[in-house]
Amino acid sequence: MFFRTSVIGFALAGFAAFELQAETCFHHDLGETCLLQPAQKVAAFEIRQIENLLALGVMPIGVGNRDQMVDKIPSPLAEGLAGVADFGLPATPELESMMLLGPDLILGGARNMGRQQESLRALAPVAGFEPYPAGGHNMYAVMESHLRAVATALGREAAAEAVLAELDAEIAAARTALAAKGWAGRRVILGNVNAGITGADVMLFNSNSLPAEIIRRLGMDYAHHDPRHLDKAFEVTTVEALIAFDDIDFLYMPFNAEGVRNLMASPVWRGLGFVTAERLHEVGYQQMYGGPLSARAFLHDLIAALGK
Amino acid sequence: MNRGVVMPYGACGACGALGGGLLALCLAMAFNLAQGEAPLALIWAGLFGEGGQSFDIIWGFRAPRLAAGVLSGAALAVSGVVMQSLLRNPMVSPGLVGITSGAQLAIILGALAAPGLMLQFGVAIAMLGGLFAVSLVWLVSGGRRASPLRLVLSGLVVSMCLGGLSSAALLLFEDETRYLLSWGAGRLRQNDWSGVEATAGFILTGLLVTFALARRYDVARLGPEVAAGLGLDLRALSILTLILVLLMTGAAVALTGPIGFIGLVTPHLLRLMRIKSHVVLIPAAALWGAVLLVLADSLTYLIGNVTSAPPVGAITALLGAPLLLWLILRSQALKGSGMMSAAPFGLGRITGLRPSHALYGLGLALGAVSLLHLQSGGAGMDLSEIWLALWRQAEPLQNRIIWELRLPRLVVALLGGAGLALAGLLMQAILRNPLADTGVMGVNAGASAGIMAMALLMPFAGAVSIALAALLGGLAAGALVWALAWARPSPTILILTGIAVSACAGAFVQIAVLQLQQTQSPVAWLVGGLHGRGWAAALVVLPVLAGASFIAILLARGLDVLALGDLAAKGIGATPDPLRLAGGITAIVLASLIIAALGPIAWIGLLAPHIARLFAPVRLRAQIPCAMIAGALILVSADWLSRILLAPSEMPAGIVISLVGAPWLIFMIKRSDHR
Repeated sequence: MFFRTSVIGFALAGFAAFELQAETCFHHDLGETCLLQPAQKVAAFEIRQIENLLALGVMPIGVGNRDQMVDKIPSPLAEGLAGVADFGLPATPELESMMLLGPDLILGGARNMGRQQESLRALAPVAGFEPYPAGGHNMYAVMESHLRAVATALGREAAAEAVLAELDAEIAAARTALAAKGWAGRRVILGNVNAGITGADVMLFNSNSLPAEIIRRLGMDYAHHDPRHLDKAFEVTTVEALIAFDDIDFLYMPFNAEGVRNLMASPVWRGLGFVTAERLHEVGYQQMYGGPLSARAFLHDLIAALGK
Repeated sequence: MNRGVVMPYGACGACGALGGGLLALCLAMAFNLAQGEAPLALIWAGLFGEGGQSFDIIWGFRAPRLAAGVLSGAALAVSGVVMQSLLRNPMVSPGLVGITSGAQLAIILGALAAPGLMLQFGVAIAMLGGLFAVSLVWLVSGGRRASPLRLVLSGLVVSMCLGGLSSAALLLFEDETRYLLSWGAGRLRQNDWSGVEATAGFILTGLLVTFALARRYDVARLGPEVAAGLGLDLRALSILTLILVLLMTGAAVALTGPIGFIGLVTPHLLRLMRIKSHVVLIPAAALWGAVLLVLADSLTYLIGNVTSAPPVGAITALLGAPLLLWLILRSQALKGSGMMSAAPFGLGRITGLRPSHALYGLGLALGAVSLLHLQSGGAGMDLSEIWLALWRQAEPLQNRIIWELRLPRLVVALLGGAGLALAGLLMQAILRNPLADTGVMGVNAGASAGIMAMALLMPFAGAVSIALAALLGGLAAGALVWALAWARPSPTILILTGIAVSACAGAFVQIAVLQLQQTQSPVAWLVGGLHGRGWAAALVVLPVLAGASFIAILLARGLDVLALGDLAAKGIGATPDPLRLAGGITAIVLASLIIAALGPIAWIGLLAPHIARLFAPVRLRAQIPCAMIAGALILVSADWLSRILLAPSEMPAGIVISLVGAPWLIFMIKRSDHR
């Protein structure tokens, strides 16, 4: 009896051990990937996934578009990328150097990785994450879930929670500081001003965008919600759309300095309610499809702009 | 109908065209002014109530937008009218002779090189680009001697060439040119009056001078002999018109971006109103061109704001391309075109080389480039290592790199290049036109449309699904061209139908690119290349290529007879239509499949047959192997360059070919033409 129980017990334990080894599974936008053991040699394409790795304290063996990423990722951690392999453009990853370096996981955006998956799968398991998933998700939560999925693949779940907790703590501290300056409950909209040869575009972030969530967590009220544009969480429109928002604080990121100058010279702009009331605030430009490092840089820029 | 009735009818047509045009323009303008992001009620309340910004919005944004539409529409339409009259060719327009794409390329390059300069000298730079394009078209077509069809085809080749350069610039400098994208598709949106102020003078001067020349255009339309008899200096008028057209379209492109089909559609609209005299025709064209463009702009505002609305340039293309198709299919002038004699321009033998010697030479070159191709890649490897790896005797990773990555890619390049060349050769034979290839039959544009539809519907699709979508798109476009031209499948009708179908697909691609642009880089999807192509692609292409080569050899003699012209061919007992259909299906299926496997790649189908004709000018059967080896040589070389130019990044082979191949083609056509 004892013998039988122990046999079953050992069998169960063996299964459990096997299960533990086999079941490092995580979901991404191309499906589910299971790894026998946590990934260590990771190749990464596109800013969000590279940021996820850096934030989790893992240096990838190589990244796509390396030199541009060193400049683009707003964190001192990015300097370390200068020493890793350059795997070329995400649309045409350099397969040979990847084969030589032998990654055990390839991460990137879902569109490019999806298109390349037939050739990349021959090298290593491939996971793709879409920074703009359709369906009106809260993009901050999407960013968090991407970080957690990558952390699972690397066996670094605790590091992911630490990164997110640190971000939360910074936000909580800033919330108090901003409240002291009278920002609590203020109605705020964030836009991104871009200019063509002629017309100037104003890109408005929607209520489900990543920066909108940060603004809400800072104790303000995000005042732009357009149900037609929840999929991308932003829309491109013209200054005309801004006359409806008279009573708000407008935060803008200058994508293009000349465009901003042109726009601000126009009579419509000068007559806008938030311009005449001097509730206009410039925030440093950050791309919003990055990961936790970009989110944190945006937070810092925002605190600097509003804390004046 | 007697003469007494004709006169009042003509006068009434004139007052209808002018008065109706004015009325339509007023209505279209009022409707357009009421449209915008700010709700109408808010604007209305502001105009008649307190402290609103309605006046600023209307005066600062909407009125300049409207003025840009009116000016641009008038300039393009009047340019179309005078070009059609002077060249006596109902198929020409500023877009079709390459002016728009030349101006667009100049502006893109200008914005990259000296953004500050663009604000001051935008019109001048656009005009230079337009002039460059017109000169190229003139060179390629052979100038005044050119038949209408040859002029249109030359315009198409030059437009494709310059458009390829534009998309290469957009792809390589994606971040720097992102702000040009919404302009690049044609939009009327303005920030203030500065754009209109900078261009209005040029456009108005152009319109007035054109109007002052109206009587001369009446004479010029009667033909060179009559014009000379009536004492008109046609040469001086042509040069003056060219300057005027460049001035007007250059300014219009600088103001609103490239907008197609207004210059083509408006003259035909007026022709339907039976307007003949240029004194009426020119102002009427200005009015109706403005109406069409403003209405098309209004249509975009009905669809949504910048995020969701297509650019007005895409709307005019979507509406204009079917109209072009209709014009072609009902055209009286083209009725007898099936009976046109031999190729519209001959190509002489350029070298004294015998075809067999040429084959050896091309084969040697191909071998050498293939070796270079095998040698290039991120992992290095010298020739001895490659040799060992070919026998699987090198290190395991090197064996894998050769057998899994480099060799299949080389084989696909060889097969793909040979196949595109064969398809182009067949197409040129059945259409009797050395400027035709399967791209002219809509295959490339259809494949691009398929790829973009896939990108919109299934964003994470893998390479196989994308290839299937491209295959379906290419085949559908090819089939559509044949179906539409079914009643009269003459070369001219087929080519023009193909251009129109391509334009429809192109408008859809343009809209899709802008939809996707905000969150990713769709241009990369539209440029063909060989990255990551494996044995599967080779296995799919090989049997079809073998079959197509077999059919081509069988058809070769019949197609040689076809080159004499349909009438002569029938005279010696050949049956042009079935031959043409068989050759056409073979070429379209082959090209669609290869383009599905590689992505849209242009030029090989044009270039390789030209190379073959240098060595084997007459017999198709001798041209087939030459063209296939030349095609393989072109694609393998381009792919080799694509890997080494920007390593470790790749510049897709499709771009390399259009950067190098297009100018080369123009040079070759020009040169062979002198013989």
